[in-house]
Amino acid sequence: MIALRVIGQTLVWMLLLAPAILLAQWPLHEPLPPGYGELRLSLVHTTQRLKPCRRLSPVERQALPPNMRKVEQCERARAPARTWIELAGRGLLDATVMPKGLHNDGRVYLHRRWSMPAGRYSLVLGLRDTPGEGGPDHQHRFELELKPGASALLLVGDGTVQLLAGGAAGTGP
Amino acid sequence: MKSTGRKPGLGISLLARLELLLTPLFGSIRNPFHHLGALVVYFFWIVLVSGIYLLIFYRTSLAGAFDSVERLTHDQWFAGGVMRSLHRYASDAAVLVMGGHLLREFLRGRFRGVRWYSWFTGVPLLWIVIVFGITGYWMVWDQLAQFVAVGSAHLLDVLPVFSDPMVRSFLTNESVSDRFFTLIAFIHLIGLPIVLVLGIWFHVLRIRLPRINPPRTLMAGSLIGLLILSLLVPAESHPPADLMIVPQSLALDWLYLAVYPLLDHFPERSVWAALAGFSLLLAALPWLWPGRRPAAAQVHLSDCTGCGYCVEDCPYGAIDLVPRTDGRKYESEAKVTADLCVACGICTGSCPSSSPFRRHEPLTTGIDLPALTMQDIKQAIHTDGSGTHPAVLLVGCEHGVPVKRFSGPGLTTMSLPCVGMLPPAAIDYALRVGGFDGVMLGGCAAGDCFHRYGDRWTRDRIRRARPPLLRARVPRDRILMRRLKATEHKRLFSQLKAFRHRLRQMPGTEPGGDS
Ligand code: HEM
Repeated sequence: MIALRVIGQTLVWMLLLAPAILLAQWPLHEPLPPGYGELRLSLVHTTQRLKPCRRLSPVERQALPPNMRKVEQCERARAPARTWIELAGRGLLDATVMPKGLHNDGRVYLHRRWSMPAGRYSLVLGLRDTPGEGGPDHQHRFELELKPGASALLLVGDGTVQLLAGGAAGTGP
Repeated sequence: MKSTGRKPGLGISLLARLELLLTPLFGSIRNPFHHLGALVVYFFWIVLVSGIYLLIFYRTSLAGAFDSVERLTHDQWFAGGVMRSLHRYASDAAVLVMGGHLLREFLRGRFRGVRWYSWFTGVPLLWIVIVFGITGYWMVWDQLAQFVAVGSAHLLDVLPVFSDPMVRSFLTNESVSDRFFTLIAFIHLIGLPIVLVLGIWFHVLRIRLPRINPPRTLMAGSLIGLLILSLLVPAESHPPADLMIVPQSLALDWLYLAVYPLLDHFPERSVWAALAGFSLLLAALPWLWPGRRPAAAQVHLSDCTGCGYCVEDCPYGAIDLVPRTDGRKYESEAKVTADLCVACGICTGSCPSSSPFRRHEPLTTGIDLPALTMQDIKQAIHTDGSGTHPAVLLVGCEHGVPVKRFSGPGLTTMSLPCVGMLPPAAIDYALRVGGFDGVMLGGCAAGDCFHRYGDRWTRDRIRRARPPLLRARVPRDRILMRRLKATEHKRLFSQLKAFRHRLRQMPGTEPGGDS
């Protein structure tokens, strides 16, 4: 009788715990539909100052305490960065991002990801990092060969722009 | 004799029906549903022990983590593999059972009134446990870990926490920082265990004699169940992490990681808003839906000797002994902290002064409830005057079978907040003075007293194992205690009938009609 009870209780425990074990691995999650890949943008860029630095005149320098006599006076704020991405002739991104920091004196950070069907795409990146309205100051063109399941990466830094095609083979362009 | 009247609510009925499925096999006292909080704690013990084993073989570095887990899983599947599965599945069991615990306390309305504290401190526990699991999956550094790391980075980057966005750490396989990985391992191995222990301690701080450990049979049964399942479905890793690909198919642990797929469909800020909104709503429930709050117990110094029985029996630690304030010869007196008192009345049952045999009018005692005084209890102990025998006093509680549903000649019902409120002397009084032939005690199912321990203290007082003792002269065969769930009304009814039948056969029961 006791043995039956022990077996019964064990079976009931397995039944009670089964949902936990099931939900620990099922249903499967597919982050991308089959045949899709991903394009990531990582932009970390220092934009120009809103106003150019001004050289101090000798008189102005003289007026400063001796240990603070700098050559130039710069305002801290920097311009926002406007970024455009065109993929296969269609606009994918048009974003204006302020520089970080309380005085907008830091770098601009922009990170995005898009999923899209694998294939060949022409990619145009535009970046305006100077004050004022208008078109891009820099433009870059790439041919993106996006493999299914690959995670391509468009890396925009200070003076460097790189497209890594991604995919299991490695990180090469 | 018939039964009519108000039935328990739908939520309580469904819960009781579900829980009763397990009573025949486990018994009521050991019914797993009655020990959900303690089972969560127990599953974390399994997690701890299996985790210590894993740690012996685990390499806390980005380069070594994946391979060390693979070796552990396959080279010693009979030990490391089983331990890994136990570690994972016990964690999942903990979440599942925690969900059940939350739902159960909610359905029983135990989030209200002075119980707000346990409910409120339970909400952060939810998140501590979830983050525990997230960091655990991270440490394997396989494709699931990568999915979790990238998702977490996107989530955290919308908060004004890091000046340099966290996603930058997960752009390429080369940019992943070893130091960051070690930080996650540190959080999982040292930070969160400490926070969890402190969290559980806070959670049960206002509960006296909290049931932290489940009964041994439940420990053994669940461990064997987990072991068998671990052997049948061993926990495995995904392929190693590669940040230049998107994992195709993930065996996601939905109990811990359900938030990440949401990021495929909703912006990070919306996901945060939903999580914060849900947590706030949950935490604020005691105030959003307060219910009626009965007045706290009151001490009558004229009858309090400072014996401390009520302090010992109060399930929420709401009574303290303090130095005497009225100049009488006793050292101390009882003092109630109203903000901790759930008004169960168990203190009245434990007070040696709670005796209906005492003659002064109105009858007072050392401690009772303003809404139900000792005088009220004494007055309720009288037969219906029909002269029907056997006359039975049926005492129930607000959370067991509603005894007011029963009526008929020879039957008197008394509903208390908890059966533990009934002083043993009242049973003696009912049989000796009240004209009753028997006293039947209902109340919540065994091991599942709504107010915790009321049923146990009453049983022990009758068995003379806990003061105040029921006097030895009281014939125990004229007392029946049947602890049942609120829906077991038919069972109570048939037990009551059988009890009356037995009473009728006993010498000394006055003859008379029964219906
Ligand atoms: C790590 C997770 C948790 C653990 C280990 C845990 C454990 C416990 C334990 C051991 C008790 C005492 C049971 C007793 O002695 O009667 C308890 C009571 C309670 N728990 Fe939890 N719990 C957890 C999470 C939660 C959560 C998420 C909630 C709801 C938001 C919750 C709500 C409650 C309530 C309301 C009580 C008190 C019931 C009363 O007043 O008697 N718990 N818990």
